[in-house]
Amino acid sequence: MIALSGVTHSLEVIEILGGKASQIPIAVTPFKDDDKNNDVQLMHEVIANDLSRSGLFSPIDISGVSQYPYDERDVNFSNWSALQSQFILLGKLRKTAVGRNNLQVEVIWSLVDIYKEKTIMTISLKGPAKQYRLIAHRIADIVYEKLTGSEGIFQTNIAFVKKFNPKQYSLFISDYDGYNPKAILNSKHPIISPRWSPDGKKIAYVSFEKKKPVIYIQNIETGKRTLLANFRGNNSAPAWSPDSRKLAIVLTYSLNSQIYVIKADGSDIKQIMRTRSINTEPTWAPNGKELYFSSDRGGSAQIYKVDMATNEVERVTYEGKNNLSPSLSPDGKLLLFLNQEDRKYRVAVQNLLSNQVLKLTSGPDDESPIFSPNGHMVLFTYKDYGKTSKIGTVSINGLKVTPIDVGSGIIMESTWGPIKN
Amino acid sequence: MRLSWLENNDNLQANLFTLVIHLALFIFMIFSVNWNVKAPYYAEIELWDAVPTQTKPKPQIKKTKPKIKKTAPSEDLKKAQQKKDADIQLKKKKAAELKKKKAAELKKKKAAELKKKKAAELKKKKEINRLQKQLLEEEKLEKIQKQLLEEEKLEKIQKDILAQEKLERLQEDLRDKDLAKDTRIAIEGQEDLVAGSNSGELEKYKALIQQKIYQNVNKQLCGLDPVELTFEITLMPTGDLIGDAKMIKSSKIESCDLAVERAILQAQPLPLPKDNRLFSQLKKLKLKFQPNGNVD
Amino acid sequence: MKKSLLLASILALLAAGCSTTEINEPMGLNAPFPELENMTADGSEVDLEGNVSGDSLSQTALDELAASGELADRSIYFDYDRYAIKEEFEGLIGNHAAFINKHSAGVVIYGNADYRGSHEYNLALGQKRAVAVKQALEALGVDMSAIETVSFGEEHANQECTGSTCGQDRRADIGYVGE
Repeated sequence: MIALSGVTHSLEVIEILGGKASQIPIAVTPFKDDDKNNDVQLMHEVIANDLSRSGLFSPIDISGVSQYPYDERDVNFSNWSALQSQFILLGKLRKTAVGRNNLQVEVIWSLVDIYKEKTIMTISLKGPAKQYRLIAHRIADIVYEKLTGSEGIFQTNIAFVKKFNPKQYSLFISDYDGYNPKAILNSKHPIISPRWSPDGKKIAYVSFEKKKPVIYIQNIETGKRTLLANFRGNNSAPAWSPDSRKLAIVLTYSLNSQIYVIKADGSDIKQIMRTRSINTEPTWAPNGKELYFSSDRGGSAQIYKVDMATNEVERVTYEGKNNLSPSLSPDGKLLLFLNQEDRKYRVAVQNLLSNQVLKLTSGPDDESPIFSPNGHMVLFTYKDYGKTSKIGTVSINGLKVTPIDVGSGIIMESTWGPIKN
Repeated sequence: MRLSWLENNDNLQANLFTLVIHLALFIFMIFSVNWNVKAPYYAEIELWDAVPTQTKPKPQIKKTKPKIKKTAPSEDLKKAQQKKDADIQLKKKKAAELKKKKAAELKKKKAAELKKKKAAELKKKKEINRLQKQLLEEEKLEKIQKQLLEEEKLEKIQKDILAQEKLERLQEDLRDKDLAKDTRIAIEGQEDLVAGSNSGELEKYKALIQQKIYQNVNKQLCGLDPVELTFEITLMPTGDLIGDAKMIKSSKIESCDLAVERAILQAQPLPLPKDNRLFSQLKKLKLKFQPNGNVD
Repeated sequence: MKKSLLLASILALLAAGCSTTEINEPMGLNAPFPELENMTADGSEVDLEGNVSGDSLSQTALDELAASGELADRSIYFDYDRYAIKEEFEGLIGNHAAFINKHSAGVVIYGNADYRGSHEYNLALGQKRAVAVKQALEALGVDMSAIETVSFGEEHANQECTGSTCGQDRRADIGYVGE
């Protein structure tokens, strides 16, 4: 650089292009608890597991630390910096009894920035001690939102089907990490394709209880259900519209599987397309104007999209041999699907702008990929070593694959519920 | 290969190695001395056990000749006595032979053991010698290495001094001649020639700084669309920031701004040249980020 | 309806009893059966058999069916990811076509797929196989409205099959209304 003025150099400019997908190291220390109640001591573990599962955080190993800080003033910045931690989450609890058998807990916690040596936030949360997991999930959500700018999903629910034996199936709802599961339907016949309404109140699913596939909508709170579709032939693949008012479904009323749209109360059915090929697995784009679906019209199973106003169809996937089970990210920019190559089915994600494809799992029998409500994680099923179907999550950057433990048995057809308001 | 191995390792490694070998040798020494002492006792005991007739040491009894009437012994008695004597002689002979045999065996055993011991000692000695030799070799090599490095350093310093002198002389001449813009260009051109491309050094450090910060940029927190950020930083010669990183241009995404700021802070200390002149050019920096690729 | 509900409840209770003895299970079948409604939202009941125009099998027809060795063969097998009818099954289809036409029977064809791929896509694939058989029967003179097609997809498949053993699941089965 030639300095013309001769007095001061102009600033040297360094351009840094691109970046890495890395995990933020964070220390999550046990919360101070004078009353040695076992449940509540696990709170910091729940938080650490949540953050770790997301693939954006890496909780550091604190087993070698002799004294944990319980207050922001107790933090020794050089010590934590030496452990390569960028943040520390600490806190303390206090238990109070409100009436008989009603234990309440108050948690006062802080998130501290180690590099800048200052506290980012200090928050107090109160709730029933029995719901300590939910409180921990809430803390994880707040931290997640502050440091990533996106909403957290640690307080959401998932649903899945458990096959106890060929004559026993149950549809379960649980915390997103598999805890506190509750059966909402028990049946002697298969249950598939459960789908949560975006408003979080109902679940649609396909049941074989009538000796052929039909679609029910069940109110989660009351358990009351209505038969949405029992037309001649198969009724399957329910997909809620973003405003929860309509569903796209697949009927074989006219021979092969075709896509229709029906109102949530069962009225006003409209056929979207009619071809000689398979058209199935519809899913809505977040703008409510397009449907993505799988079809074999090109010779192999691929994913297409249809503009519901113009009926124009466009092919979307070109990778590998077959592509199935589309799912859109909440911002509509990423397409999640099952990619088949070399007889292996794995979960893949495609950037709809650049058309770049990233394979997130290795297969060989992965299925049912669906985005978390913030688009940062994927819930999917896979087969373990014994060829038993299980469920797990993978972070969208591909860095973290974590199983979800919901006990023994065949676990399949999983789906993710929305963020509750 | 040996050379490069030494070059790459610290002196500390060599010293440690030396210490370990000396320790090992010391232990060997002690061990062999102890062993020497133990063996004889064991051998001795065994000997006594094997030959029962000899366990009791022959009592030194003074045989007093009894005053007995000498009566002519009968033939049988004589024969018996002869036989007895012969038997005794035989026995004595046998015992003596056995003793001899045992002694010989023991001698042989001892000899063999001694031989073995000697062989082992010799082997050890050889090993010690070898190690000592090796050590010496390595020490020698180290010395040579050091020398070479020193020489290199000296050479470089001399070169720098020469270059500097040359430069100063040039500057003096030019200063006398009052040529404004052109002189500055001439100086910098010469700097390139003489000091081995000075601007090359600058670029090198810029690249090092860029690499170190890049490693920490967590682009996941910057969404999917192209964004741009700019920070200004002021550095100490140690490579640490003076004050905060000042954000000149925001990405409009809070988590992205924070992540990039963290990337800068995490990269401390930044790699900076020792040379004052170069450092002054890098003291204040403008950092431009495009975490999701080009904004074009 | 009530009887089956009662039976179902007893079974559920029994099942609940069985599952709670298993120590590893974190939960048991403890949810009550929700209210069952066998009607579509607009109030009409849709029934499988009613859709088929053919007759329920008469006793003579049933006897004939039971006696026949050929007609005992009900399954048509398919290649991986395929729904084309292979030559070796044309005879089987011919036999059934004859029987159907003779007795004006109502037919249900059940389509199946092996476990590989998604449940929904396999439902569609099973359907295509059932349709292929339906069309083959049609070509032999059977009235389209007499044939109902239903797909089970991979729901009856062997989830642990490997290689050639998966071929068992890629099939369409012929069933008769009334048997």
